[in-house]
Amino acid sequence: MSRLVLMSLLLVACAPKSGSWQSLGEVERTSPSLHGVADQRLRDLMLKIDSLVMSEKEMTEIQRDLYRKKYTQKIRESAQMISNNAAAVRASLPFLPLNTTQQAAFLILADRMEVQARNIENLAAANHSDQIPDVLNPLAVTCRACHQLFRVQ
Amino acid sequence: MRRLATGTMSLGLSLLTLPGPARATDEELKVLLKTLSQQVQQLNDRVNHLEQELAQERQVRTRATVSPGLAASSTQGSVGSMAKPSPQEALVANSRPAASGPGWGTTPDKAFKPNTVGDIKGSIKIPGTDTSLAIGGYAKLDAVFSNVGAFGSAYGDQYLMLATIPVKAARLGENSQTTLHAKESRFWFKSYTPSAYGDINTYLEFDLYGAADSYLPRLRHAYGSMGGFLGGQTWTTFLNQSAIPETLDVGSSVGLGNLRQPMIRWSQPFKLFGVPLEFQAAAESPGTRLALREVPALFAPNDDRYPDFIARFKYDSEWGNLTLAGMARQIRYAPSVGPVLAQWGGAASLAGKINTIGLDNIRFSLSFGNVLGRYISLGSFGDASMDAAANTLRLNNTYGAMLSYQHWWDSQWRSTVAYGFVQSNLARFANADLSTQGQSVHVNLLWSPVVYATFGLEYIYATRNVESGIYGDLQRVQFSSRFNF
Repeated sequence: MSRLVLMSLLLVACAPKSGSWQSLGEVERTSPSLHGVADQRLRDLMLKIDSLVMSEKEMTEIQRDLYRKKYTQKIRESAQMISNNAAAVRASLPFLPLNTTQQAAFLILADRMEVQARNIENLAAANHSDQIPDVLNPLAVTCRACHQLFRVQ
Repeated sequence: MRRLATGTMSLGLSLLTLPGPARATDEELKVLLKTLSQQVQQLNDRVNHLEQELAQERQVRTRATVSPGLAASSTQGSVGSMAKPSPQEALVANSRPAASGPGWGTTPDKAFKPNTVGDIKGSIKIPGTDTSLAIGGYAKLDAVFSNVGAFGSAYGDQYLMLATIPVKAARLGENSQTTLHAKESRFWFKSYTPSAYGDINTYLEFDLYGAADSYLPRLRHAYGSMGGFLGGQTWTTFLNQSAIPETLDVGSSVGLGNLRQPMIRWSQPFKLFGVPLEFQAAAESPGTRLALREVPALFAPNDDRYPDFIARFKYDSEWGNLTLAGMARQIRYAPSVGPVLAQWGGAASLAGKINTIGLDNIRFSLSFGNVLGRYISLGSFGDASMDAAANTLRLNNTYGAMLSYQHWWDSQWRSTVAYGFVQSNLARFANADLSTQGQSVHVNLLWSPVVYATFGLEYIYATRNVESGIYGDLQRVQFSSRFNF
């Protein structure tokens, strides 16, 4: 059975884009998911924070701190949006035609997304923006992996 | 069993926590998919195994002679519920990770540093106090090749200083010169202490431009602030420093009011029709600069009576910021013999930084006034023209403009194109060799392979016109490396 699951996972992951619900519970979306948008925003905000050091050499460090605080607050809000969205992702489970093994994988990825988003939220709340990239990259991998498995991009 | 299943899945998915690029690549996803599938298979095997064990255990229990009380508790307790959970309940319960469990990336407990960390980035807290301290800066090398050297000015060879672009005979013997220096290297120190009256910040910053031919430290910033109050030396309130384009040349574009000086400043945020704005009022250090008739140099009489008064409104938004500033100054000369010459004048500035696509941005600055001379283009112009013999002082109308665009090719490579213009209308009697107009173009390509290192190449073209109508130009190529710490 597990071989069958593996085969179907691989087939669907590699299948061309198709419409409506698929056997593995894929759903076609014309717009990006809410947490996908928030994830991209996190990435943009981190770039903005980096650019303060790279590109704004005429700012005093105190001015940079003000901008860092501002951007970090926005990171916190975006991370909050992602972690709150995890509940909605889980709630969609009953509507997906998944078998129990696939459901397990789906929930694990949803939980993983929530935990990683909460980590970012906590780091942002503590104003530790320099540590956020360590958590941000694995979060992107989680989102991407889940979308590739269960959602037509 | 739930724990085992969760643990197995968690372990399998823990591979997802491996550091990787921001976006999962196809290869990475294939590995993840494979790992996930293997772990699901292992999970199934494990569940089958445990179910067999459970069935055996039940058989043993039914056969065994036990007390009625113990049998009841076993049936109603965890064994019974483990045997037949609803599929949904089981999955949800099994998949819940412990926040600090293994394989879930950076956990909150692990992520936060101990209490020695200060309240601001990269700082340490002084034990027993609320004060956080931090130091930083960068080491920068500038290699500058100029088609013509600045006549008699080492500074002019190190950065664009409009007044030192040679004209006429001063160009002779100055062709094709190279300079290497590390004078822009900076060191800063800051502290932060929360208080009932607002955050207390102090900031000190130095570079090595203290002397033209040696490496003496020069104070760039030295100020403290508490809540809305600031006292010390920093960028003039008249300048919107976020409008300064990113150039390797520390002299930057002409047409900008890039001046740092001592001041007392109050900042007050407020709302107008629901729009958040900031108002700043400052009294800044005065310093009259006069264009004389006799010599082609600016004269600083040091006779100022009143500070320069500056007020500024700032609008800061997601798309960038805008500032509108106004200034009133008295230009004053009090000779030991003869009447005091003094006049009040004003200036205004509109400047901003507007974010366009991604990290791209437009920066601009427009300024105009009759006391703008000292505030623009590194003090290349006089605030007024003076004919001491005739007891005449005339304020110089001065205009400055700068427009730049910064494009980020990707998160490491970026370019800036900046154009600047400045014009100062001197009195007819002013010395004919004094600067009246300048233009500059900066074009660069910068690369930051990591956040704390930047390499770049810049081309600079600048012209300078003097009162007599002749002009000189300068072409320069500059390579720089900068390492922040």
